[in-house]
Amino acid sequence: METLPPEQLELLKMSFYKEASHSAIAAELGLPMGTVKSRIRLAFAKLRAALEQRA
Amino acid sequence: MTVQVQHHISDELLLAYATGELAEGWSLAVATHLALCPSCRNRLSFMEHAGGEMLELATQETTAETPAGSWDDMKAKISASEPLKKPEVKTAPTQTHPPVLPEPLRSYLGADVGQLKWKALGRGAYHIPIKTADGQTQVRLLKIPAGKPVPEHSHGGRELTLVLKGAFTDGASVFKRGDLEEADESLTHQPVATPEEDCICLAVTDAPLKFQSRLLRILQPILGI
Repeated sequence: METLPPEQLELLKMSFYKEASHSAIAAELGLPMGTVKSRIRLAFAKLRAALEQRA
Repeated sequence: MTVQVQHHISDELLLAYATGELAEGWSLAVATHLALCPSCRNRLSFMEHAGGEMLELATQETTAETPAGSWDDMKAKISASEPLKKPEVKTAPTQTHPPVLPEPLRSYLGADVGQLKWKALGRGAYHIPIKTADGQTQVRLLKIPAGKPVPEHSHGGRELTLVLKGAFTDGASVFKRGDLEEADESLTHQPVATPEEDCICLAVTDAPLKFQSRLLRILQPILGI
């Protein structure tokens, strides 16, 4: 079973936990918006895949 | 009418909606798409579920001495909890005229499309500005005549377009009822209504549109676009 890479987990934590906007996250982590968006997509793709494997 | 939605909400937009971060105008477009799209409702419920588990995990970490690497625990919990139910496809009660505008959009306009007072935009196009309290977005219902283009424009920021009736094409893609197009400043596009019928769509932007035609830019404040 794969685990989420730390950078993707960090993003989701910031989104859900701190309710930070994606532009605020991008600024805080010093990342371009495109990178933030693609990490979010990757993270949910992995989570969905993990769920489907178990289901 | 069966809705076969092809163009969905992106993960990042849906996540922003789920975490309550979106301004009202964007939320209206997302919520109206959700009303037409069972699969995105399912995705939203998955995200909320994941968010709930994450908060629970964070609470555990602060109260009990859970090992830091409890990401696996969280995933196990998500997987072990009841599988997401397939959304129930409810058969709408038989209506002679099913509404074109789903909620929550219909309440913003106060009526369905038949009873609306459209304002002429020129070139056969019409619109109705929709007021929101967020002060950051510009929201309106657009009616583009069959076969006609929306004037070419790029954006100062994000633009969401949700088709409610008819269809438009934008390059290779066709957007029909329920489809959501997400555009940003990098995209100069030329949506064209398909020839069969007028296209009605909800358009949300976060900055006044930048038209490439100088005449349209001059007329923009007058036309209120």
